[in-house]
Amino acid sequence: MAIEIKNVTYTYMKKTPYEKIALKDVSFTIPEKNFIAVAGHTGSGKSTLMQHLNGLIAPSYGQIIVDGIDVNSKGSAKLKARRSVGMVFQYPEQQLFEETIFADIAFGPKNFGLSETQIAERVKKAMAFVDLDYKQYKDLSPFSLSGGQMRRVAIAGIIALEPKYLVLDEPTAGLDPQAKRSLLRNIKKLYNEGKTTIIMVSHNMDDILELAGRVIVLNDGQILADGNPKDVFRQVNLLHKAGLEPPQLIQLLERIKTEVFDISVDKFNVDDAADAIYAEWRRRQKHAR
Amino acid sequence: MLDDIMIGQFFPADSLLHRIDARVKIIVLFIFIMAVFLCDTRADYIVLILLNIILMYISKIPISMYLKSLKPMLWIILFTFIIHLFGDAGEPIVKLWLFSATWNGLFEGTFITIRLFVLILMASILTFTTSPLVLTDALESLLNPFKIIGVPAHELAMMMTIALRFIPTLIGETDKIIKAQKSRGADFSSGNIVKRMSFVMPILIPLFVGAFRRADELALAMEARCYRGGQGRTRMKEMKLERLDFFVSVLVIIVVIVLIIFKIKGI
Repeated sequence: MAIEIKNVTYTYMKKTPYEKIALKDVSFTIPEKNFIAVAGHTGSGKSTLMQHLNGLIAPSYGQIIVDGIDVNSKGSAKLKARRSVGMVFQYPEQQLFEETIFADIAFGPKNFGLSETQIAERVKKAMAFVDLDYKQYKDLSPFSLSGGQMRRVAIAGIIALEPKYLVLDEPTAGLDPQAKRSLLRNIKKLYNEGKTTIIMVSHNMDDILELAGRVIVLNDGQILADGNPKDVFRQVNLLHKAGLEPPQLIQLLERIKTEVFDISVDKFNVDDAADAIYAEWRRRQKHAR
Repeated sequence: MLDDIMIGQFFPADSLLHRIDARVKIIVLFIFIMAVFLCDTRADYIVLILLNIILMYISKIPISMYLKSLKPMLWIILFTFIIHLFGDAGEPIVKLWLFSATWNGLFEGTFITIRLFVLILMASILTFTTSPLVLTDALESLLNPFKIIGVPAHELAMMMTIALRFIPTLIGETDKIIKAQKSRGADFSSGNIVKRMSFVMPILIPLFVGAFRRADELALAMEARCYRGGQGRTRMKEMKLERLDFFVSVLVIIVVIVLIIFKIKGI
């Protein structure tokens, strides 16, 4: 079971002077129970690609197949396929509308036709997941919350759908460092429970390195790199070509390499890097003597 | 669905019409609209239609764009035509139950149709060749004399500019909210009308919240840059009438005189 993206091409505003190709013949497979990150600069086609996954946009050419069902096929089977992909948009707090937090989180499950008791159960679980106290918050208006809390409510609204595949489009954009850390921790926790496949769009290579098992780098609507984050981030030139910054540790090692002495940039945690720098420094001290 | 809107659409090009001062264009449009309503003979209309075709030609904008601007009005025009066709007294052509189409009605209907076409095309020529910003500046400049009797010219122009500026933003936001609610199982394409209506609120409320937030932010940003209304405000690009504008004005006056002569002689 997996999401298969087959030769997807998408053109915005076809047949007008403003025509723009957003995706060019993109193909890859997202196997179940993986944590995949998608990176790329603004306008590289990440968000467009994500919106294909649950059929919000139909490709101009190609197919999206979720668990064996084409999400753009005719008939009722596609609905189930689309609903197995949960989508958290950028700045999801902008989609809140209900009078109470409970009602807003319950909106999705209600549309999916769950019973009242099931809905209450799901809302409780989703709120616990995003660290919001059920009793304290359920009757408050979502508009009385802070930005970070609103974001959590909005994400809970998707978590309550218990999607098999969860797509998050830059979930930490605009959050303060503490809120960001706790959100990423929650996402990791969800993944570790082992029931959810996570696809996360991110600009932050450090987050990707820490969380994802695989990273796909998009550039101008095409896949530039696809693989283990460590392997991809070694290719610093490639990242620069995609308009991305390598993880901070690699940036530091790179600077030492160009400005101080020759050293391998192939280190992914602080201890390894410190050891390597120290070893090289010691070697040079001995030679100097 | 949402990218078919042609209201206030501007097509940058390097034509004579693009270069004419926007104030002159507005006044000329105003004169022609009055002319269209006062004209009632064939000779008048031939002059107006020819003028229209010449203007469309020298605007260097594809004719398909003009046809597209007529599209939203097509049903209203067709309706008026049919009302005239069957509504006027005179010698009948065909009879349909209680109603009969008359020759008189056919002529009247055709006249009205041409009149409406000319009106819409004239207005399109103005908006296609003038950027919205310049257009509002020109309106402000034209309304300036009325400030004495308390018309807030600058404020009206500023409101129009802001409204125009936010149309694409709000369209984009609506699109995003619709997609977000669809992802939460909102279904806009099936079920009965009551069920579909229930999904209007999940779109309207976030849209309004967003619009108010934007308005608030914009007001703050304007104040931060010391915006205090039109009082004592100068501009970087002053509007200036040039040779071309005087030339156009003379041409328009000649056309108007010709039309008046037609009127007096009764051609």
